[in-house]
Amino acid sequence: MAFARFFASRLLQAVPVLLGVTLVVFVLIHLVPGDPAQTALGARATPDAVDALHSQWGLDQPLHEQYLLFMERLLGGDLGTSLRFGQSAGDLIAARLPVTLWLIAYAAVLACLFAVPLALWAASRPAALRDRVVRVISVVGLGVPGFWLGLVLIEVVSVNWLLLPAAGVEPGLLGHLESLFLPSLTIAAGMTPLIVRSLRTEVLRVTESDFVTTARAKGLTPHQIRMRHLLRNALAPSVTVLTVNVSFLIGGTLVIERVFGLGGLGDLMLTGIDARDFPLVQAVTLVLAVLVVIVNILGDLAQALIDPRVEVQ
Amino acid sequence: MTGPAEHLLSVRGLRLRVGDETHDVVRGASLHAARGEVVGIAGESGSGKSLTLRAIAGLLPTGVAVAGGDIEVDRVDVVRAGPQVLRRLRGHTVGMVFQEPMTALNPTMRIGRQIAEAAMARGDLSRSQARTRAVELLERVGFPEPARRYRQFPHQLSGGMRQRVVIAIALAGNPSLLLCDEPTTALDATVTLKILDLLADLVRDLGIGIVFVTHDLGVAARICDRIAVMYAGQVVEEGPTEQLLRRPRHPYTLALLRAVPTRDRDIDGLRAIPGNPPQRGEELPGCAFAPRCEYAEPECRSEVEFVPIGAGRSTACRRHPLLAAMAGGTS
Repeated sequence: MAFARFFASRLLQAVPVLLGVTLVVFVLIHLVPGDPAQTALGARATPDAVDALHSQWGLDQPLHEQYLLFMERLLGGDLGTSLRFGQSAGDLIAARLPVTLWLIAYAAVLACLFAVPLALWAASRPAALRDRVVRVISVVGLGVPGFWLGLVLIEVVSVNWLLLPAAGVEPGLLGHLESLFLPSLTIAAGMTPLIVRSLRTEVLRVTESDFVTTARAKGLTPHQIRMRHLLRNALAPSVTVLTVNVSFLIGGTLVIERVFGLGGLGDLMLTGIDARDFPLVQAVTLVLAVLVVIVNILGDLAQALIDPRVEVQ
Repeated sequence: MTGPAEHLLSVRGLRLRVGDETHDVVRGASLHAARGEVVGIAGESGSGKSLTLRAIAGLLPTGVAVAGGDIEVDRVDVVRAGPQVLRRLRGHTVGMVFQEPMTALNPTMRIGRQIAEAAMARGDLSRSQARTRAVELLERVGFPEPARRYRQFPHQLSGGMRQRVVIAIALAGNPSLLLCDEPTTALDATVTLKILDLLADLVRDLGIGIVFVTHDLGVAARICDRIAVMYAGQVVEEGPTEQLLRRPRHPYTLALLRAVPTRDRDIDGLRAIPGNPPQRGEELPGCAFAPRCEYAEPECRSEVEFVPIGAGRSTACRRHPLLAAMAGGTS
C-alpha cells in the first residue's frame, strides 16, 4: 500500500517534467525543415493541395493553438492521429510497445545475469589474472558497436549455425525468448561492462567493512558471506547504473530494432520523423518520457527494497 | 592436566608482520586465559593489542601475517590451522565482539537473522531452532520483547543495543572464549557500565573466558581478573588486576596510571608520558620503553627479558626491584 501511494505520488511529481518534454519536442520538430503535407503529397503537389491538407490537419493554426489542442486531446486520453498512417497514434504505439519493452527487459536481465557473477569473480582476487580478464572483456564489450555485433551474431548464429531466427519476432513466450535473444544479447553486451565495473568496486569496498569481518567471525563459509552479506550491500550503486542504462535504452533501441527488423517503438519514431509526422513523434516522445519516469521510480523502489535504511516516503 | 595445556587460550612469543616489512608490529607477545577468567590487554593505540586479539581468531586484516610464535585455543593450533578448522573454531569455540557496533552489523539484514545465522554456522541447529535460539540470545543480552525485536534492523537500534546484538552474535555458537576488541570505546559511560556488567554476568553464568582489549585502565580495572600491558608490540607487564594497578612493576604501567584522571588527583597531577612510542620498524634492542623512561639505566637499552616476579606477576623491567621499593608509589 505504501508502495502504491509512493508510485502514484512520484508519477504526479513527474507531470511537470512530462509537460516540459512535450513542449520542447513540439517546438523542436516544428523548427526542423520539412512539411508533412508536402512529404505526403509528393514534390509535384500544387500549393493549393498542400494548403488544403494543412487546414485539414490543423497545421494552418498558430503554433500555440496547435499545442493547446494537443494538450486538450491528451487530457481526454487521445494521443492524436498520425498524419502518415491516418491511424490513432495510441493504437500505433500500443502495437509496437510490447516488442520494445520485451527487448529492454530481456537485455537488462541478461546484463545482470552476466554482470553479477563476473563482478564477484573479478573481486574475489583483485589485481589477479581473473580480474584483468574481466577488465579486458569489459573494455571490448564497451568498445564494440552494437550494430556491428548484431550483424556478426546474425551471420554466425543464425546464418551459419542456423540456431536462432535472424529477424522478426515469433509469437508466444518461447518464441519471444528465442527470437529476441540475439538483439537482447547485443544490447546486454554494451550494458554489462558498466554494471560489472560498479559492482566490482562496490564488492571490494564492502569486503573491507566491519560486518563482513563479523560474518567471518561467525564461522560462515566464503560462499555464505558473499551471498548474504556482500552482494546485497554492494548492489545499490549498480542498481543506479542499471536504471540510468535502461532509461537510456528507452528510445535508444532504435539501431538494434532496425538491425534485427523488430519494428518496435524506436522504429516507429524514426518513421514519424522521416514523414514529419508531428502528432506521431509527439505521442511517441510522451510515451518514452513516461517510461523513463516509471523506470526511475522502479529504480528507487529497488533501492528501498535492497536497503531498509532507504525510506519510501 | 597441568601446565599450559589446561589453558583455554595460550599465546607464546607471537610475532606479527605487516606486508614485506622487515620489522614486526607484534614482537613476541605471550598471554594465557582460562575458563571463567577475564584477561585484559591494555595499551595505547599502535601497541599491537588489537592485532594480537585478531590473530587469536585467525582474523588478521589482509597484509598482516603471523611471523612466529604459537597460538593455541582449546588445543587447536590457530597459526597452522587451515580455513576449515579456523571456520569451525570461529563458529564453535571463539566469539568476537568488535569496537564499532555501528559498522559491525550488516545494515540490510534483520538483527534476529544475523544472530540465527551465527547459531546455524555450528551446523547442529535447524532453521527454526536457530530462530528460537536467536530470540533466547536477544533476551539473554537484555532485549525486552525479544521476539518483536528479532525483526528490527540495526539502524533502528541505539549504539548500546547494537553492541548487545554483537555480543549475542558472538555467543550464538556457544563459545568458550569471547574476544572483545574495545567493546565499550564507542559507547557512552553509562552504557559502558551496562555492557561491562553484561559481560561479567556471562563469565559467571556461562563460565566462558574473555580476552578484553582496551586502552582504558578504568574499564580494565572494572572487569578484568588479570591485565597484560602491551607496549610497542610486546607485553611489558602482566599480573592480577588489583596488584598490577596498585603496585605496578613496570615504568610504562606506572606512567599510564599517572595519565589517568581520578577523583583525588586534580588535573595538574596528570602526567603525560614524555616522548613518543617507537616508530614502526624502528630498531629496538633492549627495552622499547627505555628512551621515555625516567628510571632507565644504560643496560636497559641493550637487554630485556620478560620474567616472573612471584605472586602470578611478570614484568619486562630490569629495575622492578626499584619500583617495588617505591611501594605504592601511585596508589
